[in-house]
Parts: sequence; structure tokens; C-alpha cells
Amino acid sequence: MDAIADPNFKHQGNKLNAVEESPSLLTVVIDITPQLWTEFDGKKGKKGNILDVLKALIVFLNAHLAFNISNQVAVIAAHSQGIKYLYPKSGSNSNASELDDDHNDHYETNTDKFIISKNMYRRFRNVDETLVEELYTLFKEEKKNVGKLTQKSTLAGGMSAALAYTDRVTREMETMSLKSRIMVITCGSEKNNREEIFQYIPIMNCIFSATKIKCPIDVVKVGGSKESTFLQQTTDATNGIYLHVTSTNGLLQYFSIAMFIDPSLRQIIVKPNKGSVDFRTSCYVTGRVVAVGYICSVCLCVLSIIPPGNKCPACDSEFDERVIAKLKKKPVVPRLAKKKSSGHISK
Amino acid sequence: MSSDLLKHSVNQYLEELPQPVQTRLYESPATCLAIYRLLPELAKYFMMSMVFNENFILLRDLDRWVKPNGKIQFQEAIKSLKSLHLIIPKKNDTGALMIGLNPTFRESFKNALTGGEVRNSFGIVIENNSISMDILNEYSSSKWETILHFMVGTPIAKIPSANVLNLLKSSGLMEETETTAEFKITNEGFQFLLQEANAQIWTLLLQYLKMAESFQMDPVDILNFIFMLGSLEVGKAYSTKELSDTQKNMLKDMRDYGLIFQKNSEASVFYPTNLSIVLTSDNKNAVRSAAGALDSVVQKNKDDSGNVDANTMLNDEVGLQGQKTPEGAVIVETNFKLYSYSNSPLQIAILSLFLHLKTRFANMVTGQITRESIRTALTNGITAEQIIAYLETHAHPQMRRLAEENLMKKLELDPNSKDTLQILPPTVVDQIRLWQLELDRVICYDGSLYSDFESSTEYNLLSKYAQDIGVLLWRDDKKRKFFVSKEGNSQVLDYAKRKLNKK
Repeated sequence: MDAIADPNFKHQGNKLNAVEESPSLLTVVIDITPQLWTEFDGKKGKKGNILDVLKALIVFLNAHLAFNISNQVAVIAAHSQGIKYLYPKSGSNSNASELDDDHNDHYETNTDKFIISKNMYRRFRNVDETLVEELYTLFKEEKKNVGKLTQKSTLAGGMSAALAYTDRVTREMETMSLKSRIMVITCGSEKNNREEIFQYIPIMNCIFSATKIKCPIDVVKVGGSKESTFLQQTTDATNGIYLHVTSTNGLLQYFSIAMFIDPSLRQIIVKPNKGSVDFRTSCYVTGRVVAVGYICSVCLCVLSIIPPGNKCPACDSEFDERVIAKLKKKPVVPRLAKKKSSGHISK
Repeated sequence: MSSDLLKHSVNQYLEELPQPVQTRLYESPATCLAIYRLLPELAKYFMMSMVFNENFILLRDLDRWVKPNGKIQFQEAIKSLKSLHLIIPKKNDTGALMIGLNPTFRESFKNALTGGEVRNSFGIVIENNSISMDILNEYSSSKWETILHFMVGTPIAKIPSANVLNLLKSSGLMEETETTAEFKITNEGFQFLLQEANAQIWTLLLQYLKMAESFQMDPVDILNFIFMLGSLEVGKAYSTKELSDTQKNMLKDMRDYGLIFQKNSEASVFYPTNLSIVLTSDNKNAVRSAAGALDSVVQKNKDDSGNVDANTMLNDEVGLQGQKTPEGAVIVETNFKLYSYSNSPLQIAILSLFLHLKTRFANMVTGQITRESIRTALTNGITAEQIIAYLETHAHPQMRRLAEENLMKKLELDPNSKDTLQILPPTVVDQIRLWQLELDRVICYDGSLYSDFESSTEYNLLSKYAQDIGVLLWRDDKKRKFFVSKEGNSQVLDYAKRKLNKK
């Protein structure tokens, strides 16, 4: 009986090994802070780098939709004043933008939508048209704000929104066992290091929730310095891919090779990552990247200096004065002869 | 699992087409998109990495991208790409093997992705001529259900059109009894009923293709039309103007299967139904089966009269329909009891193929899986695997979720565990397989029996040789007899001639 039964059960085992294809959700967070991109344009001596990125992005989204019929996409823009869902249109905004449409209807149909071919595959077209339309209104708003308001990077906010969206969609479509990943496109500049550092805590929070829902975060950094401490940590912790490109030429090729690894393929494809990741963290007060620092024993926030007022700047818990005094004590420089016992004395 | 099967059968058909026909197929962007989706995942990844890269790349480099544990998938991917002639091999100067993408395919696929030159292969939309989804859903599921009901033999069933009957007969799903000229379902027919909707439609369409070839219809035209149907949007009107004559002829047949809807046969527009969208989809949740579709129409009407919940609103926004908990979901318990949330006669008829039905409620039926019920199914030609696959794909989302949670826990405890997702209780699955094995107590082998040896050395010599080359199936040392499989027989004979003649 066993001899007969064996081949039957083995056959079953082989069959189960085959990877079952499951649809996946791709959420793209794109940093479109005008300041960064103008800086980058200036450095490259070429205008409209962001347009190259957006063009490549649209084709990349189509490619993702082509990969599996039930694949989903979402695009979130992190602009100077906050974040905006570009696709799918956020519910509250859709009414407002419809009103807007009436205003400049003739303009839009003449120019923007013209980019998208009428005979394109419907699912591509729906996504692409919405995206172009929303971007257009967003850029117009940005134009009004130029010079009026301070610009700051809202990338971490965009990532949080992407995670929230991912979580919601996976919950809603749990019958499909949807897999998900997030792709972050950012533009690096030489000056923004300080900016980025203040995003450390929100980015860390994103990393934790991403690992919890098993959602890899991929990062594409265009221009700027090669390394990006916190974004690299993000990709490392979430099993994502970090890619730095110096120019926007041939970006699509990068996207279609390095960024096209579906979550279900991550187990068998070698990731195009470089070896080392800087695991240092940043100081809560000064924003410097620190290798050795102080840690609040209550909230674990990292400090490079002893904070004024002996209070933790994050959680407001008071530090013990004696400990502070001990920390503030200047190091004793012992004489050479007493070198061995110096440790005991200073204590 | 059955979606793999479906892909396999469609791919196989495409692979068997002669290369010139394949090349002509690749001229249509819509077809390229559909074929791309039918490929294995790794193959899709490779294709995408090559689409925007005009150069040939080293096969060795592709191999390096894949980790050692994915070599099987790698081989499978390359094999499927080769047999569809999607990649072209070339040797470089040093003799290493290079591969590049089929130029016709690259051009069309690029156009599909970027929305370049698509030459109406995605259909021409006629605006301001939309139709309500309910009419379409009702039409398609009534057409499709008529076919299925006819096969199950429900007394109330209307008889499908002559074309459909012809197709059912030639595909061997049903046969005409000689005496009464009535249609009777065959073993294949029973198996067909257990498949998912998309697999069913494809089975019929592949048969249609085979028949069409005998009518001198161009398979490229037919395939292009079928793949185009899969890429259209439900609820929009499409013009018939740009269709070729072959494709215009097909409209009528497609109407009979419920794939498209036309207001009348001379109408210049047609409406794809949700059944046609299933064609290029392997998503088992899009449309579970026609039975589910009908139920969901009923459900939807209820929803409309009541409050529209936020879920459907969102789904519409994202561009998806019918992602709610599917109707006809099945719960299987470890005590072999089965509950199915369905009141569609078709679903019940299918369940009764392998289930001992007990009670029927307003929205569900219950039944018991028994040895007798499974045996009836097995004698009807349904295999245990098919029953299990059916139960798995129709399992209630709660069962799936539970199984996923269990697997997750196991993987957390032991990341190297080889366990796979078990949606159904293992006891039930094993028992169904054991019941099938009960029927396979005897296995037949073709081969030859060697007996009447002159001496035991002779016997030992030959039986040992047969064992060494692995063709020995059975031996009895006392009676000096052994049995050799058919494939190995000639080798053993040769050996015997060489050895024994020498002496």
C-alpha cells in the first residue's frame, strides 16, 4: 500500500512548491518639493529633470499594471506644504477638482490629456490620465506658493500616508491576499542633510510599521550625495532596494530592472544593493548624526549633548541631577605613574 | 492551482503554433500584453528588464540574478520564453550565449506600455453609449448558466444554441446517446464543471480555435479578438467597424457564450461582459463562477435598495468591482461537514457531484463528505485532486485567513519550515486522497516475464543485470521468474544474447 501511495503524495508535494501568483499593490511616494528639483536642475544645467522622472514613472506604473491583471497602484506626492494622493483621487478632493475642471476645461483637454493616447489600454489610461491631471493642479498650486511660504520636505509624511493606504487596501481586499510594496522617489541635494535628519524619528516609525505589515520599501534617490543614511536604513530593515542615480537619463531602464522586483520574487532574485549601510542615528536636539551619545532612559531618544534644563526634550522626564553632574564632570587626566588605578579613583 | 493549469493549457496552445503565426500574433499590442500576463512571474521580470534594453544580454548574467533556491523557476522561465520564441539566442565573439527579445514583440509591447502606436488593438470606445452593468451581468450569467445547467442536466434548463451544443460535443464534454439523441455528460464534462470560470471559458475557446481552423478561419484573427476582449472595459460600447470579417463572424458565437452583448445582430457596437474580462485574468476572485456572478447581481440589487456601503464606493474609486466576499463560499470542518453559502441551483448541483447533501436553508446548504459520495464522484471520472482544488478555490475567506495566520505562526517559530498553506483541514484532504487510492489497488505495467531458466546462475545473471539498470519490477527467486518493464526489455534481451551465446 505504501509503495503505491508514495508516488501519489509526492506528486502533490511538487505541485504545491510552485509559487502561486498573487496580485500586488505598488504605492509610489514621490518627493516633488520644487526647491530640491530646481537646485538639481541648476546643478545639471538642464531644465525639467522632474518631468523625466514623471515620464519614466508613468511607464513604470503601466508596467506594474501589466505584470498581473489585478495589480494595483497608488501615487502619493510629497510637496512643499504636505502630501496629496495623485492616484486614486482622494474622495474629498474629487469634488473640488471637478469644479476646477469646469474652469480650465478647455486648457486641460488641449494640452495635458493630449499626452495620453486615446487608444491606450483602458486601465493604463485611467491611471495615467488621473495622474497627469492631478499633477497639473498640484503644480499650479505650488506656483502660487513660491516665495510665500517656507518649503520643507514632507517625505516622511508621504511614507506614513503610503503605509496607511497600503494597510487599508490589504485589509479591504484580504480575499485576494494582496502583497504590497512602497517605492520612494526623492531628489537629493547637498544642503538638505539637516532637513532629512529631523525626519529621523518619523522615518524610524515608518520602518517599524513597514516591517510589521511585511511591506518592503524601495528608495530611488536622484542626484545629491550618494549615501542617504536614513533611507538606506529603511531599505535595509524592510528588505527593500536602495538605488542612487546621478542623472535622470535612462531612468526607465533603472526602474524596469532594479525596481521591478515584485514582492513574490524577492525570495529568489538577488537584490541590486550595495554592501554597507550606515546604521548611525541622529541627535534629537542638534540633528547631528552621532556614533556615541546619550540616551534618555525613559523614551530612548538619542542626544549628542546634555539638554538644557535637565529635561528630556522628547518626553519631558527629569533627569537625576547626580547623574547629570557625573556626566558633566570633566575627565580626569591622571598622571602616568598612577595609570593602572585611575579607573577606581575617578569613580 | 487550477489557474496554473489554465495558463498551462493556453500557453501550450500558443507554443504549438508555428513561428510565423506567433510572429504575426505579436504584431498586436493587446495580444502581447495578454501573452505577457500568461508567462511565469520570473519570465515576466526578465522580459521587463529587456524591453527597454536594445542590446543582447548574457544568459549567464540572468542566471546570476537568481539566487540558488530559484533555479527551478529560472529554468521554467527560460523554457517558456524560448518555446514562445520571445527570446532569440545568439552567440557572442567569445562563444558565450546571449539572448535578446523578439523585435516584433518588443515593439508592440513597448507600444502597449507607453500608449504609442496601438492600432486599435484595445478596441474603439464609442462614448455616450453606455449600458447598465446589471443588464450585462444578468445577460452574461444567464447565457453561461444555461450552458452549465444544460451540462448538469437541470430539468428547468433552456437548451443552448446549436453552435454551443456542437462545441460541447466536439470537445468531448458531452456526448450524444445513439438511441435517443439526447446529450449526456462525459467524465471530462464532470471535470469541466469543477473548474473555475476562466478555465471553463478557455477550454471552450481553445476547442473553438481548433474547430475554426478546420473552417479556414485565421487563428491570428481569432486570438487577437479573444485577447482584445480580455482588455476591454465592462460597461463601455465598442465599435465593430475595425474588426476583420473573421472577427465579425465571431461576434455571434461570442454572444452565445455570454462573452459579449449586442442589442441586435446588426448593431454596430458590442459590449464586453464581465465574463470576457476573466479571459486574461487568473484572478480567481474576480469572478468565481457564473453562479457567483448571478448571486452577486441579486446581492447588488439588495445593496442598492438599502444603503451603499463604503466598501463598494471605494472599490469603484480604485476601479474594481466584485471584490466583496464571494457568494458560494464553502466551509469545510474537520468532521467532514461542509457548509456552502449559496442558494444557486448550479452551485448546489455541482456540490452534489461529490457531496451527500443534508439540509437546505434560505442562504446555505449543508452536507457531509462521505466515502460513498466521494466514490460516486471518482467513478464519474472526477479525481480527488479536482475535488480538493475546487474546495480550496471556493473556500470561505475566513478559512483562508485562518490558514494564513497559522502558517505565519509556524514560520515565526521555524523560518525554515517547509509547510505550505493548508486551507482545508489536512484530515479531510488526506482522506479524500486515500479514498481515491482505494480504487487504485492494482497498477498495470506493460512488460515481459522471464521464466524457465536453465540454471540459477543464468537466472541470477539476468535478474541482477535487470535490477542494476533499474527495469526490474518483480522477481521470485524460488520460482526463478522475474518481470521487466517494457522500456527495459530490449536491453535485457541484448544482454542475454551477448552473455548466453558466449557460453
